[in-house]
Order: sequence, then C-alpha cells, then structure tokens
Amino acid sequence: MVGTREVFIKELADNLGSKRFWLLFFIIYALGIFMTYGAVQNLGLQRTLGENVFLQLFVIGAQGLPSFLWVVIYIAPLLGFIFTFDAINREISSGTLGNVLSQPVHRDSLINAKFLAGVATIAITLVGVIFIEIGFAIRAWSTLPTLEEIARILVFLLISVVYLSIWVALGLLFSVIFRREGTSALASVAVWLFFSFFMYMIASPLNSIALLYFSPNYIFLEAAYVILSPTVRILGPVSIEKLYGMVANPLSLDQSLLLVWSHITTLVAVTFVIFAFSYVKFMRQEIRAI
Amino acid sequence: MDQILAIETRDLTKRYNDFVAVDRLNLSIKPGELFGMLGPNGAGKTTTVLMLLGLTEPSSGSCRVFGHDPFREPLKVKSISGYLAERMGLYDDLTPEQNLRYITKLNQVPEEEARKRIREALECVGAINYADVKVGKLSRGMRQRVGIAGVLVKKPKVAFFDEPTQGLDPEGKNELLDLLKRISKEEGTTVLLLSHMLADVQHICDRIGIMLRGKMVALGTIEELRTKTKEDWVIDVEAENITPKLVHDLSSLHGVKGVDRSGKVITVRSEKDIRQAIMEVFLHNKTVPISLRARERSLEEIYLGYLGER
Ligand SMILES: Nc1ncnc2c1ncn2[C@@H]1O[C@H](COP(=O)(O)OP(=O)(O)OP(=O)(O)O)[C@@H](O)[C@H]1O
Ligand SMILES: [Mg+2]
Repeated sequence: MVGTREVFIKELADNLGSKRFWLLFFIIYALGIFMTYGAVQNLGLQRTLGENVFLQLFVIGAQGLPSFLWVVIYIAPLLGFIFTFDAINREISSGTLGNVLSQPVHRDSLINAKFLAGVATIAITLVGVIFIEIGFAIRAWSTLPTLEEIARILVFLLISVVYLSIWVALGLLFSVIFRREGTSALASVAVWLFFSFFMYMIASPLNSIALLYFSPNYIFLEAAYVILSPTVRILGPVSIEKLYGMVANPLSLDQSLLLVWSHITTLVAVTFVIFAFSYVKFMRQEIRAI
Repeated sequence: MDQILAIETRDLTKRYNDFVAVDRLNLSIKPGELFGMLGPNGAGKTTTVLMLLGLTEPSSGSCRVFGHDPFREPLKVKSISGYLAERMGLYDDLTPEQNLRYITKLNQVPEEEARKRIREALECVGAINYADVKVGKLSRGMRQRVGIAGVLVKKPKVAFFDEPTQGLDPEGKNELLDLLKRISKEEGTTVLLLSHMLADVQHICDRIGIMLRGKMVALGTIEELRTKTKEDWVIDVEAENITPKLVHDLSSLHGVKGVDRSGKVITVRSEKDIRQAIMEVFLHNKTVPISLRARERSLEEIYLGYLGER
C-alpha cells in the first residue's frame, strides 16, 4: 500500500520518542526486573528434576508478589492503547489529517500504519524486557536456557503481542469513534479497568468460568500459562492453582499449542474484528473538525 | 477547446443531510490560471476544494483535476495537487524542516532532491531561520508561511490555498500574494485561491468567482465583473449654494441613476461619464463647483453588491 511505510516510520518514531512511552517503558521495565529478581531468588536452580526454570521465571513471582505474566496481562495493555487512543481524533482536531490525506497516500495506509506502529512499539518493548530478564537469570544461575525453553518463550512473546494488539486496536477504534481525545482516553481506561478488575468481581461470586471466557485477559492468561507450563495438560473448569499442583508428564510444545490453539485464534479474531470496525468507520469519516 | 482543463466541475453538488453546501457548481479553470474564489463564511469554498482533492465525496455531479477523477484515481490527483488547509495541518511537535521532510517522503521525492526543495521552499517563504524550531512554538504568521512551503515542496501542477493570508501582517500578506503570482507565472502552476477578502484576490487573480450559498453568482475578470454591474460611474461634486433646483436639474440629466446630497457634496451615480453635462448644469444655475471628481464604483462595492443580492 502506497505510503504505509512512510507513515509507519513516522508513527513509530513518534511513539518511541514520546514521553508517554518512556514513562510506561520505565514502569514495565522496573516491574519486570523487580519480578524477575524476586523469582530468581525464590526459584533457585532446580534443573535436577528437569524443571523449566527459565519458563517459571515468567509465571512465578517472589513470595507474595505477582509474576511477570501478571505485568503483561494487567499493565502492558496500557502500553497498547496509550499511543492509539488519540491516533485519529488528534489528527482531525489539529487539522493534520487533511494535510496527510492530500498527499499521494491511500486513506487506509494511514490507519494500517498507525496500527502496525502500535504493535511494533509493543513488540520492541516486550522483546527488550524479556531479553533483559533472561540475561539476568543466566547470570544469576550460570546456566543457559534449553532450546525447548527458548521456543516456548518465543511463542509466549508472540501470543503476548497478539493479546496486546487487541488493546492497540481498541484504542484506535475509540480514536475513530470519539471526536475528543479526553473521551477516547476515558473509554479506553474504562474497558481496561473492566476486564482487569470488574470482570473478576462479577465472575468470582457467580463462580462462572464461562463468563471469564468473554475476557481477553483471561483467554490470554490461560494460553500463556499453558505455553509456559509444559506440565499443564487440561483446561476447563479447574482453577489454575489446582492445575499447578498436578504432576504429570510434561507436554511437548506442539501439544501445548494444540491445547490453546482456540485461545490464540480467538485473540487474533478479536483483534481483527476491532480493527476492522475502526477501519470501516475511518474510511467514511469526514476529515473536518466541525 | 481540446486543451485539457486544470479544474473542471460539472453540476458538482454536496449535501449534508438537508443542507446544500455546494449547489450544482460548474467551473472550468485553465492550466496556469490564477483563480480567486471569493465568498463569505459558509459559502462552500472549502467543501468544493475538498471534493476536488477527493477528501469529501460529492453527493452528485462530477469533477476532474487535469482530467483525473479524484475518486477513481485519488493518487494521481493528490500527487499533482498541493493543498494548504485553513488550519494548515502542520505537526506541532515537529520542526518545519521535519514537517516538510515528511511531505517529501509521502511524495516519494528522492533524498537529495528533497533536501534541495525543502531549503528552497523555506527560503522562498522567508522561514529558513526557523527551520529547526518546533512548529508549535512559531507565531501564527510564521506557521502560515511554513504551511505554504509545504505546498511548494511538492512542486504541484495545481495548488489550492484556503485563506492563506489569515493571520499575516500587511507586509507578509503582500509578500505572499506576490509569491502566489510568481509561482503561477514562473512555474505555470494553476492556483486556486480561496478567500473572503476581496483585497486578497483583486490585484493578482486572472479571474474571480464569487460564491454565495453554494452557488457561483459571478465569474470573470475584474473588468468583466465591473462592466456587468450597470452603475459604472460615481461623481462627487463639492459646491456652495446648492439649491433644490440644481439637484433637480442634475437628476433629470440623461443617464443619471440617482443623486444624493450630503452637506456640500452631491453624489451623482450614472451609467456613463457625464462630468461635462454636470458642469453645464452648474453654469446654467450660475454657480461653480469647488471640485468635481469621478470615481469608479470600487470592487468592494461590487462585491458587497453581490453579497447583498437575495
Ligand atoms: N460535516 C459537515 N456536516 C454538516 N455541515 C457541514 C459539514 N461541513 C461543512 N458543512 C457546512 O457546509 C457549509 C459550507 O462550508 P465550507 O466550509 O465549504 O464554507 P467556506 O466557504 O469554506 O466558509 P469559510 O469562509 O468559513 O471557510 C457551511 O455552512 C458548513 O456549516
Ligand atoms: Mg473555508
């Protein structure tokens, strides 16, 4: 698509150069390293039993502390929509949209590029923080991750990017729907709060796992947990705590993948649907601020 | 007339719900022409340009820019047109240089050429000293200049300027108008200048169209607009001892459309130059005018005349 590359480069540079990015980047890195430090202390090296310590690094926190997975599920979505919640409406209210669209670029190139830049920003951040954590553990334990572990971490990374893309798309959708940046910011935060906290407040008393499957957070949690824990072999109305206690032969990566394949496709589909909505809405939008 | 037109619209119409913003507009602009589109706020000028650029879809009718339909071949049209929007559309957090660079990137201008064009454009509008200051920190007039540079770097075949003189000081305004004239004459760029100020367009435009409530109510060169209005002459006569008989005699002269008296000045409006006849009337009444001055109806009066039309 003509112009996608140029817009993408500009948007990515804008993202990486913005204050909001560095603020969240700092929070996520600080949390990530803090959690890893706790986990490293907590876990020790127990390779003897064939445990995948490099995977446990991401799902087990220090005593009483949440894990890195928790950071990705609850905090990283902020990084997803913080760039896109005003991606379109700010360009309309400042009048820059008319300027860009009067250049020889397709209209959809603009929204595609903004979406991709958001996803790329997330991917860069996650890759960075995961690398740092692994490096940290390698130093602490003086051992290297196995190939299996590396493969699973890569899959985890991919699923995380897909999950966070939902939040990128959501921010973008709100930036197309709402004319005011304040409104779209509030809407994004509201959805984030809902799925991060209220959903559990509703589902827990009802004891309803089925309800939780409406939450991308929960779907991602299960998928990521299975990928990072080869010993988990069933999913369903059994809580993760119980599952973790089960001792069984570990699954191979492709078996684990098979187990959560529907989760992954759901996450991809949700991203796609939300993005498609914003795309269609944007293509018919008046470019003038009235 | 098989020369291709720079801009051509046929019954171009834009409706917003029940409101007709542009009403069956027919307009032909030749390549290289500097066309001024005048009209009060809400006349539909901006809407027309947005349709020509393919940024707003017409409700009916059609338009062409150098033979290309902005909806069938949007990239063709956009690569040959430059557009300075009312709000300029610069990124506040980028410098003028970066803003222009982004435009050249989007236009796939090669790096070397881009650097040259950016320099030239910023020099041309007198903003080269501000090339590295964030646009958000520039004054409105300076931003306006950078916006114009943004059109120049594209080297467009046709340029649309939407109220480009807004916020410029008188000197800046004149410089800008000279600049538009220059790119039109030297580079052969077709220029469509939108404004609600007659003063902006009257000295530089080859042709002027006056738009009112979505319709083009007058179109032509300045001379043509002038002769189309019937009252051409306004003669002010200053005299002592003005008697009712004198006024009566003046009004009964051939070709006179009206006589107004205020204090020592009588204003005679007529179809042609009747200064001689007026002198004769005065002599007949045994008085002499202190001064007698003919002036043409100013364009401002003509413009206001059109706007006053219901
Ligand atoms: N998206 C929209 N929805 C409804 N009405 C609109 C919309 N955009 C423009 N209009 C109306 O169309 C009319 C023409 O607007 P336009 O901006 O073309 O006028 P203009 O001649 O450029 O005026 P100005 O000198 O104020 O810029 C205005 O009355 C405006 O209110
Ligand atoms: Mg306008």
